[in-house]
Amino acid sequence: MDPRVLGAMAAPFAAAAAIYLGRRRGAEAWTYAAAGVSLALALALLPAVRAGVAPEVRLMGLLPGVDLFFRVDPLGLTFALLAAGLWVVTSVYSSGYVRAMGLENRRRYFACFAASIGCALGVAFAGNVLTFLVFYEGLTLATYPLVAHKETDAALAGARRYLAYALTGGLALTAAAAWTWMLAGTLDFVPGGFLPPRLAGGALAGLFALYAIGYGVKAAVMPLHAWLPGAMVAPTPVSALLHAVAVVKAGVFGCLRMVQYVFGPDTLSSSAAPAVLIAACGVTVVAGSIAALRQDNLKRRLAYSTVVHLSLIVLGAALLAPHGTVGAMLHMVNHGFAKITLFFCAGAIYASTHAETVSRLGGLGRHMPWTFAAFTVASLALVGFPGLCGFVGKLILARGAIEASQMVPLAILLGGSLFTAAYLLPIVRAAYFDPAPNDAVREAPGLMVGPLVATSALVVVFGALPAVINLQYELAARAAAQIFGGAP
Amino acid sequence: MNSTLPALLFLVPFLSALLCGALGGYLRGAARWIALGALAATAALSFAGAALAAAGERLVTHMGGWAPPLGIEWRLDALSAFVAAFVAATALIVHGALGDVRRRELGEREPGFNTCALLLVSGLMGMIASADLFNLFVHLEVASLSAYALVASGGRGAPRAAVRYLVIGSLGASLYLLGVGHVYAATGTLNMDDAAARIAAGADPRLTILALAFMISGLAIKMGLFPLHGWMPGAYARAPLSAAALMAPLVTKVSAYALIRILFWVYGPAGLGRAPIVADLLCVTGAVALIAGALLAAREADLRRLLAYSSVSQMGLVVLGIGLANAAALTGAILHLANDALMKATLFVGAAELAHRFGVREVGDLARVRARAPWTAAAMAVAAFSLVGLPPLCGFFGKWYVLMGALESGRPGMAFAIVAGSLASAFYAFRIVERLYFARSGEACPEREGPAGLVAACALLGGGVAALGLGSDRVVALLVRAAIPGGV
Amino acid sequence: MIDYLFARGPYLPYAALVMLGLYLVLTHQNLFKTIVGLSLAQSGIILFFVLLAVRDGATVPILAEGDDRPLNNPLPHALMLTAIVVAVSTLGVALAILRRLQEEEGSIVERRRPEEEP
Repeated sequence: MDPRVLGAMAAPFAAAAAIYLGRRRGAEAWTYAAAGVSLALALALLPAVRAGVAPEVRLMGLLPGVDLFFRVDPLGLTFALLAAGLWVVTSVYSSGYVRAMGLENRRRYFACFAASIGCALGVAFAGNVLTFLVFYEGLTLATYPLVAHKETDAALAGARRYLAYALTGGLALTAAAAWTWMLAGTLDFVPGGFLPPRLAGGALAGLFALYAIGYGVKAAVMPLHAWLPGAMVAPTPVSALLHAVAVVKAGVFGCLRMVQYVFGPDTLSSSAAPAVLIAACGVTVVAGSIAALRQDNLKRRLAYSTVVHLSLIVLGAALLAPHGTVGAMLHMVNHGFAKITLFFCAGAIYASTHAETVSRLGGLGRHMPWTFAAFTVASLALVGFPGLCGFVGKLILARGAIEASQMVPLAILLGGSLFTAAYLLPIVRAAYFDPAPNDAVREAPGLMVGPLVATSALVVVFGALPAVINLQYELAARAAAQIFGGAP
Repeated sequence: MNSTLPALLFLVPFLSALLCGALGGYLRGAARWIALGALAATAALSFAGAALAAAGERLVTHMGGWAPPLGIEWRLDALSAFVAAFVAATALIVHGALGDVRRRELGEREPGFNTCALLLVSGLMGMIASADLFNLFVHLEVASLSAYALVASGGRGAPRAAVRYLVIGSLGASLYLLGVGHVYAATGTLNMDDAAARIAAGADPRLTILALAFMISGLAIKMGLFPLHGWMPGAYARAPLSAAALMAPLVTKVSAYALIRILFWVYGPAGLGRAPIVADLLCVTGAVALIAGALLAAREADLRRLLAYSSVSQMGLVVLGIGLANAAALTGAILHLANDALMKATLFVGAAELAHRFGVREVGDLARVRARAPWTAAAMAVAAFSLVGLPPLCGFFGKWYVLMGALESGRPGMAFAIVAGSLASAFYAFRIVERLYFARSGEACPEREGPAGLVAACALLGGGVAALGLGSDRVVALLVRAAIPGGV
Repeated sequence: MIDYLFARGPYLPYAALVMLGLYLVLTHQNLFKTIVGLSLAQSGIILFFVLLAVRDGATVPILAEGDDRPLNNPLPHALMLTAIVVAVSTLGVALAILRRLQEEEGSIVERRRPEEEP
């Protein structure tokens, strides 16, 4: 029973309850407090995990022999730190956004936001498939009100589509969990997998398909991605933290868990499953990039960019090579920093100019210097510019592909980067070099600009500061060592 | 162990009903308290019985000291104790919660209504505790006749719905009675244990299978198994609000209990093995009901009719579990009886409150409630989520065990039906949630939820849905596991 | 065939009554006739139980000195006393509801089309 684990997860839920039941004014204060507590407790777990300890919490039994069980390993802690850390920044941004946009129903907004983060942390720390499933479905439920928040017909339609997809995924995962339990008699995650090694081909394929649908929906792997652009009707902080980081990364994180902790590289390497996954990712990268290129709505273009980059991470998992896993974990974090910055910028631009489309961004760079500086930095990071965070993850992913001597994934990776440049950099060019609009446009409020500058600073720090990169690499390498054996 | 407790479960509400009917004309207040007291006493007795059954006791009453096979036997084993406990508890909470609604909608007729309600509960308790096939028929009719009267006491359209219910219900009861006659012709006994022994010893299979067909058809009508559910939507929508809330959670569940009792205790694996088509038919019908009920609910506008169709769907899951006839599936079926009782009690009490205070009868009108009934809405939302089967709410676990059963018996088709049925349930469940929380309505309603007792009961039931889910492990270990007969 | 009918002959009235009852229930729109059909079917089932009790050459089950003829089975008769009570109660409830229906809607004819639902 580690109080830090429980506290980190309970703080957001407690905040959600307090916000929902309390006074309207207190909502933001509770959010800040809970975000601070969660991040502090997650950071407090870092030394233990670096020392090779896995703090555990075992609550009540759910099924005979399956408990509500949490176990903090390097992979889970990485995801938890990402979610909790960015929640702090997003909370500040949310405060600015709700004021600038005059958002209604703020209590529901902040309460659901906190609950979503709580569920994301539960997903991160979950020690078995069933606990994972509980919080994975909880994440769907908690984010559904956020997508529907504006209560317009478009918002409700987007929310319905989101629910339909996410619940289908959840049900596939339920079936997969039941099947796993029947085959293995346990549901606890084990580095290197816990399914019996000699599965019949049909069972392996069916089970893998169910898991892939279950996690692929939230990871927006094509053809299960259609909900993500639709969910962009949500308020921008929601798109930023949840649909660029917490929710979709929960899906990606699930893919990593499935490949490395349920099936295990040994079981999968002799089957066609990784090839199928790589093929799906390749298709997603190409088709998603083309969709992004054709998309004029800025948030939707960013959403398709998310689709592409998530597939690159899943690709890393599917390589079944140590550096593939390390690269996937690094890119999971680094893409989070860069993408949240881009979404913050989109929200700031919308708050200042009410421009939603790429074609209306021309010349804004001079009026909104901070916003577009951050946008440029984050775009370059996603393209993979050295010295920025995106570069590190992609470099290691490439090494993983070479390690596994698979050239197709390498080509997908490099192609994805080129495409990223093609759909993001024209925005930067237009913002700086096109003629400015006539009406006076000003920078967005400080509460919005501050967070986006902070996250773009993170993009630089995680791409250039050796100490930080080493720490991140150490966690990922430790996870890879547990899975594949050998020294971290 | 010999004890009067099993017979008291029937006698307490039955005698109180007579008292209530006799006194009702003069002392309406006293009659009201007698009804509540009788239900409380029944609940206390059934919990005592459940505690004893969990400790491994098996309580039997021999009426008038006559031992079976001559005398009529009453029995409380793990299965009947479990069913009795949730039926009595649900009846107490629902009846207690709706006192205000009842007074307002029935006025003068309240004492008569209370008498019928007590008779209904006594009939259900008699069905549960009876260890004699004919006695079960008598109690089935006690419960049914009072249910017809309860439906008929509603407003416009109620008599028509009641006649329809009566005709179809009486046909069901007659079919059951005909089945009992055939069992008697084949075995010469009506005591369940005795009949079981003779069927296992090889009583004329033509007669026993014909008997089984009659009894299953009769009980299928009573439990609203698709396509024999025609009486249900009308009856529950036209009955008084307080009657529907009492009947909907209980009547169909107890009939399903009777089916389980007859299939697995009287016929047993040996008896069923002679006609494997029975189990297969139950499986297929259950799967069809699960999906069709959910689809019918999805396109229904009237809230209580929608909930009735939802019961059709959930009973489909129960029947599917019964038909799969292995330990896991039967665990799920038995557990899901309690789950659906609790979920339906929550939703019908909530619906009664909303109709009573806000005049809401259609799903579309739920938008009027918006934030004016936060506790009721939250409880209904929790129950709706549970209907979809989101963990860790109770609906998930019923589904999980049946799913395990389908996988264990190697029927992926049935597993797929369960998943598809859950997805279909999401359509109607989230329609309720969406209307309650996200739909805008022009007209504001000045009312607020209340009175406090009703709101508290609603919250208690909603909390129970979550608690039964989280505690399902314990419930299964203590009671349900012991309720699975040997050899299954 | 003749033998079969002769052996099962006593059961024919039971089958006929149940079928006739079901026919009335299923085909008649007048709810009163439906209820009559229901009663007929119930009577048929009661007859079935009573027939079960009969044995060849047996007499009424009253014990008398010096009479050692076989007795008919008394149990089904006892059961059917209860079943008759149940059937009568059902009929009573049904008639009461029909009367309310007549008062409320002025008709006890079943509507066949759902759009005519009140």
